[in-house]
Order: sequence, then C-alpha cells, then structure tokens
Amino acid sequence: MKNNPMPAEYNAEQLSLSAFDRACLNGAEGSAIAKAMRFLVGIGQALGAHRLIDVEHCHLVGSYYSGVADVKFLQQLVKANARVRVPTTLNASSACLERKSPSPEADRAAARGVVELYTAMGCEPQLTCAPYHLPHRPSLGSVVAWAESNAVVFANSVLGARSNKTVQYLDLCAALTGRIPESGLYLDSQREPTCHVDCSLLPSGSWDFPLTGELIGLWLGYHCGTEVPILSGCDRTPGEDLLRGLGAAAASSGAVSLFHFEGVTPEAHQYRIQNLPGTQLTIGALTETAAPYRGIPGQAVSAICLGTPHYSLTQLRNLAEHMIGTNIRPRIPIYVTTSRYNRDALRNELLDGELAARGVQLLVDTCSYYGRAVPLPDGPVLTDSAKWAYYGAGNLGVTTLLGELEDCLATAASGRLTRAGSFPWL
Amino acid sequence: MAVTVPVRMLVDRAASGELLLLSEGLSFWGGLDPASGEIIDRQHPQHGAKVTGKVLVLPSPRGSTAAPGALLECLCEHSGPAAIVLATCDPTAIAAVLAAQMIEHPAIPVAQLLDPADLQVLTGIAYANVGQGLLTEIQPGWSSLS
Repeated sequence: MKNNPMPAEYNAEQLSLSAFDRACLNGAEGSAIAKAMRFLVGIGQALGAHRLIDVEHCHLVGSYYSGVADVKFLQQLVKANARVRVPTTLNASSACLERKSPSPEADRAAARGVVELYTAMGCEPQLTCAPYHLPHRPSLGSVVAWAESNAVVFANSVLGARSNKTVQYLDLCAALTGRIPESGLYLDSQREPTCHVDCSLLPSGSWDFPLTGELIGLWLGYHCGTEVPILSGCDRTPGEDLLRGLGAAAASSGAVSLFHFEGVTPEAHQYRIQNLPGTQLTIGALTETAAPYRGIPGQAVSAICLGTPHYSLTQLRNLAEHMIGTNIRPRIPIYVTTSRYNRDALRNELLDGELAARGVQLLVDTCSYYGRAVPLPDGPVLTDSAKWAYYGAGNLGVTTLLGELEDCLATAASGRLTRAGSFPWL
Repeated sequence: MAVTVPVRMLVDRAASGELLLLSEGLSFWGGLDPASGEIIDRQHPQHGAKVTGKVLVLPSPRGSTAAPGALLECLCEHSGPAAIVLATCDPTAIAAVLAAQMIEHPAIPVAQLLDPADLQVLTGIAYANVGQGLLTEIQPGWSSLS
C-alpha cells in the first residue's frame, strides 16, 4: 500500500526523542508546551515515526468557530502563556472579519473570538488558504507543517518543500514546539512517484488555458487519488497559477498531496518513470471530466465565484485588466476571494477601486463556498475553479459550472451562461 | 464462538459497546452532527445512524484536516463513540482524542485493524470490546465488566 505512514511492524519504543523534546516533556518550557509535546509523542508513536524533526513554518486550520470544546482547548493554552516557536499563519475563516463584509455579525464575532486566541499565541492573523503567497515562502527541502490541502500539494509539488496534510491540533502542537513526527511525505521514500500520467497527447496550446490545469487536477484526483503521480509530456513550463489550480483540484476530488511533473517541478528529475504503471491522458478523458460542469449556453446563472484557492496577485491584475478592457457591467454578483496581503498589493496599484467601481465584490479572510460568507446564491454558480465547483455543489446545494475568466465575465454581463472564451473542452 | 481480531492500539485504552460498522469512510467534519452523534452525510450508506456510545469501526476518516475539531466537540458533548477502530492508520481520530485529554476529558480507545480484511469478519457482530490489542465480540450487558 502506497503512502501509508505505518510500517508493517510497529513498536512504540522506536520513537527516540531529542534532549529538547525530553526537556519539553518534563515541563522545562512550561505546562502548555509539556502537553503539546505529549500530544506529538502520542501521534508520533501511533504513526510509527522514529523521531521528531524541526519545522520552520506552520499553517493552521482551526481559525473559525467550531464549538465550545475547541474554544476551551485554545483558552487553556492561552492561559498557560503558550506561544508559537516558529512563524505561524492561519487558514481562511468562516467569515470575513472586516467591518464592511457581507458575513453576518454573529458569524464574524464567533470567528473573531477564535482568531484572537490564536493571535494571542503569536500566530499571524493573515486568514488565507494560500500561505505560499505571503512573504518568506518555503523553498526546496523546507520542512513545514501545513493543514490546508491546496497549500500542502503546492508546497510539496511546486516548491519542493515538505509537508503532510497536517490535521487540526497536530498543526498547533507543531507550532508550539517547532517539532513534528517524521512520517509520510517528510520521508524521501514516500515522495517517490507511484504512477505515470503521460500528457503528450494534449495539444501544445492547451497549456495556455488555466482550465486545462483544473481539469487535469480533477482527473488526477479521481484516478490517482491516493498516489504520487508523475506527469510528463508538456513542452513548455506551465505558469504557477495553472499548477496551483491543478494541485488544488487533485486534492479536492482525490487525496493527492504531492505530484511531480517532468521538466516542470523541482524534484521530478530525481525519478525514472520507465517502470511505473502508466496512463495516457487523452482529450476525451478531459472532456468527460468537464461534462458535469459544462451547463447549457443561455441558462440562467445566479453568481460568479472566483478565487478558490485565494486569487494570486497575477490573477487579480488579469481580472482588473479584463474588467477595464471590456467595460462589462455585471447583472449578477461577482465574488472574488483573496488574502489581505494580495488585496493590499492590488490596492497599492490602485486596481481594487477599479474592480469595486465595476461591481466586483472583493472578499478577504474567507471563501465564498462557506455557507454564509456571501448571500446564498439561489441558482447555478459559474466559477473558474474546479475546487469551488467540486465543493460548492455540496456545501451550498447549487449547480456548479466551470468556465474561463472570459466566460465568467460575459456570463456576468448577461446573467446567462455564455461561452466567450476559446477553451477547447467546454 | 466469539470473534476476536488483533488490533494495534493507537490510543491505548479499553471500552465496550454496540458495534457500528461503517461500509464507507466518514468525514467527521460535516458528516457527523457533534450535538446528536448522528451521521448526517446524506451520501453515506449509514446516514442517520448514531455513533454515541458505540464501538465505531470504519475504513478510514475522510475529508478536511479540520475533522479533529468536529470530533472533539462530539466527544465533549458526550455524544461521541465509546471506541474508534480504523482499517488504516490515520491521525484524525487520535488528534481529537488527545486534544480532549488536554482539556481533562477522558480518552477513548483508538485502534487500527492489523489486517484491513478483518472489516469483513466484523459484519453481523452486535457488541464488542476493544482493548489490549484485541477487538473481541461480547454479549450485550458485558460492557460493565470492561
């Protein structure tokens, strides 16, 4: 079985601890850190890890209100003066915490209460699912403990950093101690590709479309959901945003946490693909993957949702250029989610006002598919994100449609599904 | 004869209860109502079943890394399972149980089937005890002895 962190023979005694780990356990760093270290040892033993290793950055999932027990857990740590030992950021929350936001005040207050407990422990209050857009992004070989699935697959695949999909509370205990059990994708052996996906049959021009990445990602998740796939057959270097969308989609429809791409991603050159079980990705397979999200041109659409994962500055600029160039007046809401960091960068370029003036609602801290973060759309939603299309349907109970940015803007102008772009598979 | 299968204790405790065998993985976040302990994922074959007080056996947890938070609420609302037995090693349930312990809530056993194929062996078992490396079929009413 691939990617199973548990070795065949398990022995709790095999977890060896450093002097620092033992000092933490014995209370040298305070009672909160002792508890956090006991937690790490418990998880490390269960996972069959041989040791704990240093992490240089943590990204935590719990930055929203989930109930009284969670609040009690966090309050107890704050009361014991727990502080994170490494730079730590927070994932997108259930509400936008800014005063001028469409989130209900009760949701904002509940989320703010939890976020304040995390910031009291020294976490940075950037609420984003795209921590790799913040300064000091991890580099090749960096060990991080990130919880958000799109961030994990991006860090592993595109940056060559190392992270497992770190579960809640394990992420916080890693931040408090700067340590994590060495298991899963921290180990060289678990990063080796287990299957090969040959993309050479796809027309060369298809890599110009971000949607190609979204569809390949969806396909990968469905067909290689628990594997480490290695892709090949791309004659150019796809942009970072395409690779990001590919990973986010693969981590949604499947559990892909790492993919390699020959000639594209930083670790791919280490591996041979000759003897791996392989598949040739065809245009037909991608057309089939796109089918549930195609819709019927002319059908009514109730909203456009962009920015899942949080839009990059490049994507925001591109959107602004399109809006300015076409002078579209939307008849239905356009929601765009991003980080405060990217929003502020856009503001410095005086482009956020251009978007607002054209009726685009730029939202930070949250995602538009979280129940009440935006007013619930009552009909089909068109998005450029396969992740949104995949989760939005279940979360909000609406039909989700996929399109290029050009499709989204033309549809916004008419309120009816319009295929204005030249993407070949929709 | 009572069925006994070997397990690896991931959180080493013992408990007994009615056995609830899930035929598919479960997302604790969004798939389980923490207040009632009911499986609310409409796509799940055991939709509507209650996990409260049961020995919950499942192939694996599924979905978001935020699942431990949802399971923590369930455990602290006293609507959680008596024990969790997985066919794969996964940190989700362990994290929830260890977090509960950090706020002085008693830990429940978490175990992994040594042989995932034993999932089939457990079909039809009504009550079970989990502890000391074994999942053992018991008669109802024995739970007080554990």
